[in-house]
Amino acid sequence: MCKSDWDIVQRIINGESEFFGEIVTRYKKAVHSLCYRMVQSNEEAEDLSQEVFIKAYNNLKKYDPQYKFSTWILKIATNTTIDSLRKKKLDTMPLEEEISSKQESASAEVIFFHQNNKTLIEKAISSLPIEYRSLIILFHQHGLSYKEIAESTNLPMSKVKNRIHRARNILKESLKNVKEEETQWTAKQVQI
Amino acid sequence: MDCKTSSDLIMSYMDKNIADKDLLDLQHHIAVCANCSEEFLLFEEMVEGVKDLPMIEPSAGFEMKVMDSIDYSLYKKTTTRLLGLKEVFICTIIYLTALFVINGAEYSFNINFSKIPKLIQQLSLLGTVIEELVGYSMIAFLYPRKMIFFLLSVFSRATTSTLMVYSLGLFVLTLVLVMIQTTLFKILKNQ
Repeated sequence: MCKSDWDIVQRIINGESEFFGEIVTRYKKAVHSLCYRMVQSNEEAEDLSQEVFIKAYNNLKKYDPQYKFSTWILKIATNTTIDSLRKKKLDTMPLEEEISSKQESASAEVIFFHQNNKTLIEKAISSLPIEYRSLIILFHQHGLSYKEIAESTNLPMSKVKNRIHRARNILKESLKNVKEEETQWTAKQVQI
Repeated sequence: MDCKTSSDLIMSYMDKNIADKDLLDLQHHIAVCANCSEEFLLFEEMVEGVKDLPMIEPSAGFEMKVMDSIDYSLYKKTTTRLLGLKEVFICTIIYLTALFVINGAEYSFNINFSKIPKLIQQLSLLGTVIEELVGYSMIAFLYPRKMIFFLLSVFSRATTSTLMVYSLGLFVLTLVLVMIQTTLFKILKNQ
């Protein structure tokens, strides 16, 4: 019989720690995927995922069952990843500066898209500022609502909405630039 | 509808939070406006792309790594044991058996009721000793020499010393049993 997340958490808190394996099985994909999208490294994502689960285990007593367990653990994942990236000083620019610099280098990214043959969306997401990256993934891939994301990130809902809209615009512009570049490239090939 | 309103409605559509009437208006607008139509298609492609991003699975041994890293004792319920009562009981049985074997006929299974008053007398003597100890406990910090003399007088009493020897034997046995138990648990856990 499939137990609910809350049932499993209660059993763990009552001394049956071996049931935490079930939690790991259920959420390892979601947590690892989110971490990977943020840090773009499989090895680092795995280390961060492990850290996320250990933190979740140590703080199980703080879990409030009125919220979904997936929301709670993804919150831990988001915060852990952002903290890790900030410690590594991979993102020291103020948010507004970073957005403009990312847009200026769009043409370089377009070339990069072709050279590396990675999916356009994946690369576009990796070029987003960290704070936007997590929100876009949480909303569109993990299906969290604005309210859940606001609770996860301790941001006001209006800020969450605003950032997601801006992130969408950035991604749309990246996609648009690539498509224009593709059209020009195809036209050149036809001429040749 | 103007293009600015259309852009806002596209965002609401992506939020999956658009009223039916607004959706209809949006559909009519993008049917006639090439720019907004392109914008809508780009957004839709982008959102679908994000939704369809593959979920990346960690390595095969990930779960085991996590389970090996957690502290199993964190949520372990500490069973309320009465300070090793089990060990004391076992040691008492072993001790009495050993006494019986060593001393043989001196200890009989027949209950000798005449010994009970003597037992009570000895217990009351022990009680007196404890009373004196409590009484001297406050003075002990101020008068160490008096405390030493008191202890000597306590230990010189035959009954007390006999009881203390037997108690010491029982304590040592209990300690040995606890040590054996702990070692066995460690060996089993390491396996």
